[in-house]
Amino acid sequence: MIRKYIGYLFLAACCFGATSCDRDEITPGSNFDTTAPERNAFDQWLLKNYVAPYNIDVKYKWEDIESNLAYDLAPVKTENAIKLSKIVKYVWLEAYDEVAGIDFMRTYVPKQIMLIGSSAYNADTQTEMLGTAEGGMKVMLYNVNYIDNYIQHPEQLNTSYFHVMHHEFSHILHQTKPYSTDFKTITESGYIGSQWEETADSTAHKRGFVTPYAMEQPDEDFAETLSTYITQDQASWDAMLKDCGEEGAQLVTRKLELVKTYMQESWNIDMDELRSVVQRRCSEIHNLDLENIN
Amino acid sequence: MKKYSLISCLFLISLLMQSCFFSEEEIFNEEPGQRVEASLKEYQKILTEAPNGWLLEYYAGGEMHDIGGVVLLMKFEGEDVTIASDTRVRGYGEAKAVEVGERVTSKYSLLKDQGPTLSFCTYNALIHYWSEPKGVFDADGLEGDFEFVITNATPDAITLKGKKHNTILTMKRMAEDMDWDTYLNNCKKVREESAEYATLVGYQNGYAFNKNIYSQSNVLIISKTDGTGKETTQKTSFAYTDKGIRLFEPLTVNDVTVNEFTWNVTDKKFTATTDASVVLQYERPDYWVPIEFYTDNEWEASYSYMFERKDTTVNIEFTRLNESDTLSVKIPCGSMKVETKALYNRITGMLEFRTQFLTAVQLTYESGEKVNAYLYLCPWNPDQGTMFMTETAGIVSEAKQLSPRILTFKDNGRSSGTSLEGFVFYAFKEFSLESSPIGVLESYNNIEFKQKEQE
Repeated sequence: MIRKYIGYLFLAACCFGATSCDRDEITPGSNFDTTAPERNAFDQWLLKNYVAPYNIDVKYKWEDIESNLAYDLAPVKTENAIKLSKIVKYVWLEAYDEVAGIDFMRTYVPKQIMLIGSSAYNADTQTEMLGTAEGGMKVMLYNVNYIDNYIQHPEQLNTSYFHVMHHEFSHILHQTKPYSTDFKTITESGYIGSQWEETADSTAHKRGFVTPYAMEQPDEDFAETLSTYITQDQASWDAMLKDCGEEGAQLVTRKLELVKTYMQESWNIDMDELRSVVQRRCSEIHNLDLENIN
Repeated sequence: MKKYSLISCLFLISLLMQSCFFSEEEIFNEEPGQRVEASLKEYQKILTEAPNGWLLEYYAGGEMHDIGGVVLLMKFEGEDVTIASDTRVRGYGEAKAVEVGERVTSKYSLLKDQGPTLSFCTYNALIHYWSEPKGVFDADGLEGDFEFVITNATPDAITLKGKKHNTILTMKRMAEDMDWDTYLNNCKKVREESAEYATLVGYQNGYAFNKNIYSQSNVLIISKTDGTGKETTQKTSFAYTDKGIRLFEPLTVNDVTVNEFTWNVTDKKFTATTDASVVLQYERPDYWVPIEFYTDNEWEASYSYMFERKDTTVNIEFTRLNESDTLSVKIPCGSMKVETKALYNRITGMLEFRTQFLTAVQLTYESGEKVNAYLYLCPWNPDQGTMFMTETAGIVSEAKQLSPRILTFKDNGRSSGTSLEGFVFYAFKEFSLESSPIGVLESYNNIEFKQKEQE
């Protein structure tokens, strides 16, 4: 029997072979325009400050295919794209440069940042989304047309934008070098998958998680612990620990210790140093020239 | 079994060998990618080579395009587009509105997408106002487009197809001697002059082919009575021109096709540009009453609840607020009487209830827990169960009977793609409509106001 099937297969293979009797010439050169596009002053600034040092493509001109088709969105104002590009470079990219060196950052940083003018509003859940990152490759920052409101309150920049960027970046790091399996055992029975969406902050705290999202699964717990610690000052962190209660605070602190050890041993990054650099740079935003391209 | 296998195998061979029997002819000399590139270059040239720019009558409102037409004048230079509009808009969350005629510059791009696409790719309130989300409660905004597939282009006209809502728009080259400000000011002048003559009757050769047309916010609301006496309304949006109005597309009303009109303020009428015997003439409707008619009479309101509750009839009275066109009327809600505001329309003599803040109250849950709540009136569609929180959404009265007057309520025509018929009293946790909702306290449907006969 097997032999017979092989016979048929052979026949079929012959048929496939017989189909390509037409000869198609391959057109020489590219079908697409490969000449460099005209670049305005901001495009050139991006080339110098994002592409050359980090190989990051900052997209501010709307392309729906690069955005999120599930939402109705508005493009970004050019002047706000300039402001946020400068802030992201100073507070996020250069914070890691300062602590871990630019080679570290240019190796692991996501390769595309897309800026969107409006928030991503979900009418069903009545929520809005300010930032996402897909697979460590692409960061989407929303609501950029209202960036002026945040610039006056830099701590909101941290919670709104940089939290998600540190979070996603930490995924890239732990996917490159895994963290200790001890981390997962600290609150092993506390991971509840998508039910985190219905969990209140204080409930998450009392069960030993920094945020409800951390309850999704251990990797998210790791990323949330890291990014929450970096983007909060000591007073906010202490307030969170207080809300955790004695037992919860103990669990969170044990996790934080493992995260700190991991960052130190795997990447030679002192988390407390990184945190103080991030906070310092955030407080220095008002010194930056956000209006002019230089 | 063996025979079938052999037959199926032969069949398979016959299928696979087809490509040998025909030779494919190339329809075009160039590769598809090269052709798109070439057309983009051509479109770029057409766009930028109009010395006085382009006129686009822009329509939002999704596939219904029932929000009304907006005049956008656009000049394309390099990667920048400069826009001016006949309509004042304030972008969501913007501190300042863009005034009529004010120039705003942003970027555009021509992309290889679903065919050559013109995209307004950085924010410009004058165009993105019509498509941007306006908060959590209006996540899809006014449903306009800002990306368009170019389906045809000549140096005089470019046909655009909205990528999201499929609306077909035409961009026309502006005459070189037409000053932008003059054009926009003339549009504004027609709008302002015709606004107070907004109740119209359609005539052809002196015969009234439609007795009830109402023009508001770039939309004509046309009422028609069919053979059985049933009244239906049809909306068609229009844009102002420097001489009159142009409809979104030609419209046939009782066998008369209408499209573009010239405004004449002396005669208070619009005359069709292609057929001077067709006019839309201002007439004060027979149902018009002065505002005092509401305050001087006694009224009885009846309405039905949802949730299997019985119909209710109560006495109401209207009070005029400070000589304004706003009337205050108290409506029962549970054990309370809540003050609501009705807007009197000077042109139609009718009353309108729009989305409004009512009062702050303390509510008690069944558990005994007390909560502070902010009560809003939100117009709604009881069939769909959807309520609207945009400022202008509402219901407007119509005279079911002239004397004694009986008023029923229908959609005010200011929301897209719905038919609002009643309203609900909705409680929120905070003053802002964007705060957490608590829920519906009461719903009001089949609302009828009846003038009580003098004893």
